Formats: sequence, C-alpha cells, structure tokens
Amino acid sequence: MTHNLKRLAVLSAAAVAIAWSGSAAAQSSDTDTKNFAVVGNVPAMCVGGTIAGTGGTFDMGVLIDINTGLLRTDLAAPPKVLSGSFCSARSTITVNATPMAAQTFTSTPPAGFSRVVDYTATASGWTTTPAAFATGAGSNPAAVQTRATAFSGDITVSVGSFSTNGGATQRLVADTNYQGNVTVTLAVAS
Amino acid sequence: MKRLALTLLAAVALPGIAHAQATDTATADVGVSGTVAKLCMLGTPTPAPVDVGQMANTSGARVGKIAVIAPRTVTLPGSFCNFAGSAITVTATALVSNDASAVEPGFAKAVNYTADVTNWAAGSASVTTAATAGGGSPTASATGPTQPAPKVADLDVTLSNFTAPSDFLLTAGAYSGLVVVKLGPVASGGE
Amino acid sequence: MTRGFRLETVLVVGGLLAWASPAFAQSTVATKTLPVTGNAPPVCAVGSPRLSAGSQINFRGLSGNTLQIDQMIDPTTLAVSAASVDVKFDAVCNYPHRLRLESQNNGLWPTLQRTQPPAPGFGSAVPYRATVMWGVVNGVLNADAQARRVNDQQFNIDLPTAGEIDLKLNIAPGASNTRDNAPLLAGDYADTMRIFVEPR
Repeated sequence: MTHNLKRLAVLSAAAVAIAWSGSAAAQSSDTDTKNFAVVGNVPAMCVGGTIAGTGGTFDMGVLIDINTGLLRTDLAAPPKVLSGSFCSARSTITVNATPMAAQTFTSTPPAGFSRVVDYTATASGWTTTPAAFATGAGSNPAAVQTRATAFSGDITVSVGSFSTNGGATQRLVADTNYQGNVTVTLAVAS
Repeated sequence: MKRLALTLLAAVALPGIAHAQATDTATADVGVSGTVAKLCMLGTPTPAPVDVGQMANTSGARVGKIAVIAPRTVTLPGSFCNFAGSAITVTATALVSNDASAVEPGFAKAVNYTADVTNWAAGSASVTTAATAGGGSPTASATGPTQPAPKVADLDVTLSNFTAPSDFLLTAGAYSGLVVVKLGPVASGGE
Repeated sequence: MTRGFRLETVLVVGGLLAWASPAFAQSTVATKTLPVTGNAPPVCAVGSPRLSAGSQINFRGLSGNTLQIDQMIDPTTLAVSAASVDVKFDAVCNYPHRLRLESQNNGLWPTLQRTQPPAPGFGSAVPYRATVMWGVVNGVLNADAQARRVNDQQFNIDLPTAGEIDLKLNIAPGASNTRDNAPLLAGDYADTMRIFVEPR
C-alpha cells in the first residue's frame, strides 16, 4: 500500500506584532515619552535704594541775607543719589514735597514777614521726564511719572528754585529750624 | 491576507502511533514561534505639574534676586523596558517669564535649573538648562548611561539648583518651563 | 486568552498654565524721605536816615547823618526858635527785640566845654523832645537838658517788625535848661541821637 504522507506545510510563524500602536504619530513602541510642566512666579515689587556719603538731609544753611533779612538768592545744595533702587515690574515714581516752615515760630507772622519757604523738588533718572513737585504750585501734574518696564538704577533727587511764600519782599521770621520734607515713592503700576 | 494569530502550542504527540506504522494517520510538525517586541513605558509623572511658588526674595540683602528654592522630585512609577540596552534622555526647558517683552539691563526673565533622572541606570541622566537673561536658548537635553538589562523601576526626576542667569534681578510675573523624559533604546553606535 | 500590551501616550499639558496674579508682595511700594532744613538767624538791620519830605521846620536838612538847625535863636530875644524835623530809617528785625533811643547829651549842649559856670539869666543847653514810632511802639524820649548825661529809653517789641522807624525831633520855642525864653549863650550846640534795635 502506498503511504501518502501528507505533509503539512511547515508554517513558519510570522513574527506577529502582539502589540499595536495606540495612537498616531512618531511614537514607536520601544520608546516612551512623558513630560510635566514646571511653573513659578516672581512678585511685582519695588525696593528703594540707599543714599551714600553725606546722608539724606538737604541742609540749606543760613536762608537769609543778614543785611536785609530777605531770602538769599543763591540757595543751592548738591543733589542726592538713591542707589540700588529697582522695580521688578512697570512702576510709577512720585515726588512730593512740603515747604520749609519755621518749626518754632508757628503762629501767623506779622505783616511783612513769612515763615514759609517754597521750593521745587525733582527726581530724575527713573523716567524720561523727571518727576517734579513745586511746593508753591496749585497743582503738580508732573509729580507722578510712569516707567513702562522693570528697571534698576539710580535716582537723583535735587532741590532748587527757593522762594519766600507770600512774596519776595517778605522777610523770614527768625527761627533756627526751618524744615520741609521731600518724599520719593516707587510703586508697582497696574 | 489573513493574519495568523497563533497561540503557543507544544507539538502534539499523538500517543500510540508508532513511527511509520499507522498508514491511516498522518503526522505533521507545526513550528510555533512568537516574538515579544521591545517595549518601554514610563509611568505618569506624579505629582505634576511642579509649582515652585515665589522665586524671588522680597526682603533682605538679596531682595529681588532668586531665592533659595528647595529641590522637587517627580516620580514616574512603574516605568520599564523589556529589553537590554536602554537609556533615559531628559530634555529640560528653563522657567521663562510668560511676559514676552524684552528685559532691561540688570534683569533676567528666565530661571535655570538642573533635572536629574535616577533609578534607571547605574548613573543618572542629568541636564542643566542654560537660558540667557533674555530667555534665549532655554532648552537643554542629555542622555544618561545605558541600562544593560530589562528593568522595572520607579523613576525619580529631581529638579534642583535653581539659578538666575548672571544672578540678575528677576522681572515680575508668571514663569513656566517643561521637563520631557524619554525612555528608549540606546542609539546604535554608542551611548 | 490574548494578553496584549497597549502603548499609551499621555501628555500632560506643558507650559500653558497661566497663573493668577502672584500673591501680594510685601514691598510693592518703597518710599524714601529726605528732609530739607535751614535756619534764619535773628537779624536786625537799620538803614540810613532820610528826611520825610516837607516835614522840617527850621532845619536846613540832613547832611550825612547830621541834622542842621537853620536858625537856632530868635535874633531879637536870643531865645531858642522852634524847630522840628521828621527822620525815617528803613529797618527790620525778624525776631522779638528792643528799640533803644539814646541821647548822648540829654539835650543840645555846647560843643566846647565851658571852664566857667554859665552866666546867670542865660540858658546854656536846649531841651528837646524825641518821639519814635516803630511797629507797635509809640514812644517818647524827653531830653530835658537838666544835666549833661546819656539819656535813653527802651521799648520792647514782641513781634518781628519790618518797616520804617519814624523819629520826630521837636524843639519848643524858647526852650532852655533854665527858664522859658531865656537868652542862649553863644556857641555851637549839638547832641547825638542813636537808635538801637537789639536783643532784649
């Protein structure tokens, strides 16, 4: 009897990918990628600088001509520099000043006399237009200036244009302590 | 073309059939083989995203400059590769301010950091970003050593060494960056 | 049962988280104060005298700082003629102070010292009256010529004052240090008035 051997073809197993890509794109199966965000924040802040050397007081000395009793016309003081000021965001710089007033003679002076000296205070270096405040002016629109970007730098503060409140013919009452204050404020702008 | 799905079978030995004796029985050998493909998988980063919070000092001698930021660790649990010869590639993008405007002199709008991926190979995959003060070149990438055997592990990604370019003052605002971890075969030709 | 491994790609959204405005920072405003100081010392200043126009009677005028009487005596009676004059000084004192009016001789006395006592019946010195107005002060100094001496009057002024010191000198007709209308001995007669504005 003839044996017929059936031979089944040896099936060669095809390599079958048991796994398949889940989604589109360049991801191949032997590589995986994951990522995560890292976030943080920096607060908006303004920090005022410090004044080196001679300190923060503008001492104008003797205010009057001792022969006439009238305000000296040559009153001047070197400007002061605030070093190391910065704002980390958009900011405004504001200058405010109070006139020099007699601190002991506080009553109303008699006719022909004044107890107040007006002046103009200016802060420059922070903005294109310096911020300025005149104590004798009805309004001071230039007192607030805006800087559109973060900034770090020196602010130069100066005083000048002294005048007797009430008129140039008024004399100052005697007082060893005339005082006013200049304030410079840096603030984060919205 | 049909796809054959083969289940693994051992060759069936029909009992009691003597070789070449039973003329009414045929024997056939069927070879079965399968291949498990190479696979890597990374676990989902936890906890993520990373919020390092306020990055600048608000007082003291270093006011306005980068504060000391404690390291943060993100875990990718249950990561694995089922083949030998894999490596981690880590790509980090510095924290850059979301404000697109240019920086003023003395200020930086980027915070650099170091990202270390550990627990995979004998050494870590480590990269340090080198963004400029203006936020340029924020991204850096590095590939770690080869892991010579298949492995399952919880990968740790540690972010540390937060610095500002040139230690400049930092501009205000929200900052964001990104860490990308890739696990895959080592590129042929070397590490 | 077929066990398969599915690849999953899960992307965490990166880089797009926008945070709300950062927590309030303690230093959004920085202020520096710079005092401006000075002092006005106490000063008094008195200017040169000037005649008040049209005010003098029997005075020639102001020559330097000297007021010259035109005709001292009536030529028929030899008694002193009336004379008056008004002199002003610009002055200022910026603090509470004192005005002092001083007559060096207490009247018009002969410039040459007599060695002999004056002859009886004749006057030898001329009294006069000085009034001063300054701020709130309205004061009088009577140089009565009874004795040759320094005679002064002080007036306290509580306020800083600026303006004119107004000094009026008045010699009455027939004034004399003896009896009224006594004839006056011949010679030059003089006095010096000083005005001081000074601390109290």
